[in-house]
Amino acid sequence: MKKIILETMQSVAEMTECELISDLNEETVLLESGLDSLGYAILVSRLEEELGYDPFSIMDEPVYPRTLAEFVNIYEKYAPVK
Amino acid sequence: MKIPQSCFEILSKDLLETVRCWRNQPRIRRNMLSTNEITECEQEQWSKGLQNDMTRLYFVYFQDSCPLGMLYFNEITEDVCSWGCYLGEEAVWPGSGLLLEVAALDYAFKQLNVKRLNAEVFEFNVSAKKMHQFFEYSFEGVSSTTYQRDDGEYHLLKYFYLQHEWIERRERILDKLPRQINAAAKKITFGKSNRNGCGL
Repeated sequence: MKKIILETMQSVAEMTECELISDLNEETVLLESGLDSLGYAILVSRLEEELGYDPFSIMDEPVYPRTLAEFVNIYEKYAPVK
Repeated sequence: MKIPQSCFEILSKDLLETVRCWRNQPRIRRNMLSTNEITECEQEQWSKGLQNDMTRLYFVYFQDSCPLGMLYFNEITEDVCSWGCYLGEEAVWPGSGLLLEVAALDYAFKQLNVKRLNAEVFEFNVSAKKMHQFFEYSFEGVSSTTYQRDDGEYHLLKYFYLQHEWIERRERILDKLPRQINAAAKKITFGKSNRNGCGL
């Protein structure tokens, strides 16, 4: 999951002409990652195409991510059971 | 699809300290004209100054009832105003900054009914510059004044939007946004404002 998210982030960053910070890691605060608001909105759309779900639109209680690790955890938690 | 409700409420006394904490974060101070940390006393004085000031309006941005940031208008006249915003919290629905842009344009042109909306961003604030470009602001020029930051001196970039342009472009621009943001933009509401700056 983390790999898919990081690859998609990189692709969205290139598409939106954002520059991800060089030391992007699990504790990186999303607002300081280099991807802007439009980039994150596109990232969620692209991940929905790729993974088939948008966790933010299916969660009962809204829980929003602060860090990259939290973002990945949300996608893992809401992944459809196969 | 569950979409957060974005509600903008006039700044109230109970949130003054929350707002001061947001405003004092380094990532926010860097984008302000004044980078000084605000003391409790200064915040109190500032809030008193907002009372009965018809030229300034400060809203707190609530997302699903949680306060997340600020949207503010100043230099309000009958025809023109300026605006600014920030996300004070770090854990937000992805794309929330876009909703602040939509809210600012809608409130300025539909509620304040000004003919022109001004915006200024520091030249190093790449995300704000790109956001204004995405929403198709007109670029007016560069400030003659420079502002000192730790890593150098920077200019402000000046942008503006005309009321008739937003009316003409709004639907087309919202359609450029990702689906979930477009849906969330339809759920933006504003609390009542008595146009005296705040609910303090």
